[in-house]
Parts: sequence; structure tokens; C-alpha cells
Amino acid sequence: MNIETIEKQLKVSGISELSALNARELKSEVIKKFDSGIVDIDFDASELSFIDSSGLGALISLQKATSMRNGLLRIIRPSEQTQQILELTRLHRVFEIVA
Amino acid sequence: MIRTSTSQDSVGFQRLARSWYWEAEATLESAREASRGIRDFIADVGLPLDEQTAWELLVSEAANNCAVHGAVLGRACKLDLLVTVMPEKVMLRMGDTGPGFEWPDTTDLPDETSESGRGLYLIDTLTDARHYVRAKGRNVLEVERLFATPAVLEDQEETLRTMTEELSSCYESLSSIFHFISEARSADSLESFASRLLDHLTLCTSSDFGVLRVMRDGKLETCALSGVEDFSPLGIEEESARDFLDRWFTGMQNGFPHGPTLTGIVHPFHHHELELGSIMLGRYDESLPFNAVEENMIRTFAEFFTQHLLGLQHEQAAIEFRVAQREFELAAEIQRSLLPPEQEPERGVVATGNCDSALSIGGDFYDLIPIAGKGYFFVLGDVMGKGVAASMMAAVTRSAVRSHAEVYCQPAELLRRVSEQLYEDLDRLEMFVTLVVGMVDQETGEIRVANAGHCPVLVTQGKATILLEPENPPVGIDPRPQYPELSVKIRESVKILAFSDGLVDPRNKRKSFQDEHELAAWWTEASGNAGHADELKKLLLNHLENDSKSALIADDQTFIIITCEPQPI
Repeated sequence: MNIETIEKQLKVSGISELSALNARELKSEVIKKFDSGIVDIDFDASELSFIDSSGLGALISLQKATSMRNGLLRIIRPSEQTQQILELTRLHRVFEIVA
Repeated sequence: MIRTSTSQDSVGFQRLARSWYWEAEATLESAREASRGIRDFIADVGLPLDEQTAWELLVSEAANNCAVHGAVLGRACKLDLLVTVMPEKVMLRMGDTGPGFEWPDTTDLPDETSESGRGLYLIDTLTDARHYVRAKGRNVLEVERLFATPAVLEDQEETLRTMTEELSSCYESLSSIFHFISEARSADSLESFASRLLDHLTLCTSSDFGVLRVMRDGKLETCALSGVEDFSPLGIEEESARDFLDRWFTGMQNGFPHGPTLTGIVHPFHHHELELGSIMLGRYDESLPFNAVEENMIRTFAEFFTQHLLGLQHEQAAIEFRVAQREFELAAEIQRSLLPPEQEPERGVVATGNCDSALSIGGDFYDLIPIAGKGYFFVLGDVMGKGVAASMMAAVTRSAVRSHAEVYCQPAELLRRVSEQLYEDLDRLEMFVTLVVGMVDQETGEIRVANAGHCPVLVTQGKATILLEPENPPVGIDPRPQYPELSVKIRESVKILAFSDGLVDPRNKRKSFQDEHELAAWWTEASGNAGHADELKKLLLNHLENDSKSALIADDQTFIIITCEPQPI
């Protein structure tokens, strides 16, 4: 998992699976770096091949953290499978998805 | 443990029925191992990617549930899975030794902000049949998911249809935007442009109605309507504009003027933290919600409208700035015209002055009035503050002084009258004016000065300079002030300097004096080197680097220089 800070944005990338196994770790690692200057989070989903409901829960939690600062969680380049799961759970309405 | 096998079905036909068995203690790690295993198995039997993904997710959700809730009082939960691939479906039988749970009758999605509660919904949605038996010592979940070869073709057709629809929508959006870019240039008003844009978007998205509102003075105001009469903004419109998030709605909406069966979306538009408005589109049939392609089109149009709105706002701000700048220039011209022109000496008294404002207009002013047969009356004032307000009050003060011409020769009396006259206005406006007035009177052979809180007047004769310090507060502080008259006898060649505090303001980037004493020392020396008022003015301006136009001054710099030679009384 890579987390880098670019100005007011955290860029999270390099995650191939987001499940009950690592959802909690993602949340805590991101929140640790979510200092006062950070507003938005870009979650690079281009390498993500699997996500389950716990993974979705972690993303919602990060979305709430950004919303409190009037920021956004953007999901960047999700695979077709990830996009389908977001649509199935209607979370494509909650996150900004960048193809 | 993992096993795979091939068998015949119960009726004896040679049909492929492969199965996969797995068992382990239920942990999050083993649950993930099981979900990866089933994915590989489904791939091995040649089923498509959608099936692989669906079963991976299904098993992950079911097995995670056992791993999280299965272990009770330190007793590990055992988990076993049997997956069977039939010609028309895949079946899963999952057993666990945990306490089990009641499978709900319906598995609805939780609130969008909820971080949990989607596992059972996913199992429910991804399967065609489910059966759960909770029993002491062993619970069993059986699920099956149908598949059929023709469906694959239908899926491809559906995918192709969706892609075509998406491409066509992108083309439609682009082409519309090009059209509206040209319309925006010739639009009569924001409202007429918004109306045409909204009508077009309503048509493109097959909406029954559209409402576009813009934020004015913190309130949403209707800018354009399509297919609906005007109505007050709905709660969801206000929420959306406020928190910058989309809102979807179905069913009856309080405050909406039409029937109860509605579906639609409210999309806000904003610029950084600035709320600009919202756009709402809807249909009168709640069974026809907008799809992702249509929602994208709505967002694209909203973004385009935002840019147009910002362009108009910038244009308006530029016009207002130009008007204000012109008014400022006019005010500066008027203020300059109120300064006295260069005048002839009067009975050997030569007077000159200079006024540089920190802005192009300011609160400093001076006046020089020749008094026939006597000499010069002079005034120098500094209104608190800078800019237009200060310059207006400077003009008022100048007029007030000029309205008491009969007492020019009695500066203290003049200052008292002016103070009383201006007190009420200055007090109401919470302003004050420092003001020094004086008379260089050759008839009586003396200089008389009255000073209301202004900088001292420097009077140099020979090598000695005296400072006529203020002894009373500025005009506007005391309703009934009394001012003492300070007088100096003209015994020899006299050089007088009255100045504003801008000359001794260290904040000025242009050169100034550190304090009054440094200025007094400089003035004494300069008075010894130059005899004429104009020469002294030139020396002082050079010292202040007045020609360096790029250097800004923090405070107005104004001064009066008067020279005179003693004359027989």
C-alpha cells in the first residue's frame, strides 16, 4: 500500500485486494496521515482486483473523514468488476468515480 | 483441505458435474483463502469472469461472517464448503459450527453512509436461491446461482448497448456544449441562456421536468424551469447546494407541485467553497430512475453552466471595478483641484505646499490664502483614515475653515469655531481631524498659530528652530474646545514648516524622517542653506525621494513652507 501526500490530497495506491483482511489496516494507515492540511483522498483502484463489503465500509469511512473537511474521496480507474460492485451496492452515487 | 471431483447426476445422464470441497477453521485468513480457491475452481471449469468474481465475493461474504461471529467462548468455528457446478447453475453448501443467526426475510441495503450491513445484501443479490438452516452444533447455508449460455450472449448485447448508449451520450454532451458555447456569447441574460440549456438537458435525459436555481444572497433563486411551474426550493435542493453532494429522490416530495410518483436527482454546482446553485431533473414515473449515463450528462451540463456563471460573475466584477476606479480617479481630480495654486508673495511672505496621498486620494489637505496688506493665512489638516471617506471629510473641513474668513487673523478663534461647527458630524461618524491654522502677519510682525492635535509647526529664525506643539486634542473630540494662540515675533528671516505625520512615518517605503526631532534638525540645516520657499520645497522633496514613483507611501505626506523677511511695522 502506498500513501503519498500531494498538497491537500492523499493519494492511496498499490492495493490489489481490499477485504475484511486489510480494510482495518487501510483505514488506520490513511487516517494516520490525514493531518489537518489534507482535504481530499484519491484512491487509485486501478490495481484493485477484489473488494468485499468490509472494503466498501473502509472506503465509506474515509469518505466521511473527507466530507467533514468539505473534501472528496475519489476512486480512480476502478476495474469493471469493482465498478459493478459499487453499482450493485449503489455506492457509485456516494463516491466520485474517475474512469 | 481441498478436493475436486467429477460425477454423474442422479438420473444417469452423462452430464458434467464437477465439485470442489474445502474445510478449515473459520478465520479471516482462511475465509480469504476459500474465496480465492473458489474463484480458481470456477475459472478452471471454464466459467466466465463474471461468475468467478461473483462466487469469490459470495464466499468471501459468507465465510467472513462465520470468521467474525462464529467463535464463541474460545471455541473455534469450523467451516466447510462444497461447491458443485451443474450444467445450468453453481451450487454452494456451506456448513459451520458457530452459533448461527436468523436469516432476515428481506435484506435491504443500509443507509449510504453506513460502513457495514452489505454482506447479506450481496449474497442475496448475487444468488438465485438461498436456504439457511440454523441448528445446534451445525448451521448450513445453501445457495445457487443460475447461468445459461444464451445469457452470456445477452450480456454481451447488453454491454454493447450500454457502451453505445454511453458513447452516444458523450457525443450528445460534447455537441451540445459546443452549441451552447456559441449561444453563451450572444445570450441576452443569464436566465434566457439557463432556460435554453435546461430545456435541452431535459430533452436529452428524457426528463419530465427540470429546475435550475442559482444562489443569491445565500438563498436559492429560480433561474430556469422546464416542464414545471415555479415552486419554492425543496429541502433536498437546499441540502445539496449546501453540502455539495448529489441527492436522489423517489416518491412524493413535500413542496413539489405535482403528483406523488417522482424520481430524480439534484446536482449542486459550486466553485471551491462557494455555493453557486443546483440543478434538479426528474420524471413522473418512479420506476424510471436515471441511469449512470444520464447522471453523467447532468453533471457535465452542470459543470458547463458553472463555468458560464463564473465567467459572468468575473465580467460583472471587472465592470464594477472599472466604475469604482473611474469614480476614484474623479474624486482624486476634485481633491487636487481643491489645493491652492502657486501664488504670488504677499507683503514679502512667500508660501508653497505639497500633498502626496498614500492612495490617489486621502485625508490630508492644506490651504494658503493671501491676506492683502498682511501676509498669509495657512491651514494644514489630516483626517483620520484614508481613501474616499477621509477625502470627503477633508473637503468639508476645508470649506468650514474658509467660511470663517473674518477671523483668519485670529487662528485660535477660527479653530474654536470650526471645531464647534464640525463636532456633531465628526462625533456621529466616529472620525476626527488634526488641524493647524496660522497667520503670518507682517502688519503686527508676528506668526500666530493654533493647533488641534496636529504635528508641531517648525519656525526657524537664524540657527534656532522652535516647535509650536499642539496643546489640545483634535477637532471632533471635544464639543466645546478652547485653543491657546501660540505666537512668535518676526525678528529676522523666518522659515516655517507645517507638516503631516506622513513625513515622520517609518512605515513609508519612501524615505521619511524617524521623528519630529530628526525633521527639525534637518529643517534647521536646510534653512541655513536655502532662502526661498521654493528652494526649501525642492530640498525637502529630494530628501523624501518624491520622484521615486514606484515607492509606495503608507501615509499621506503633506507640508507647507512659508518664508518671510521682517518688514517695518
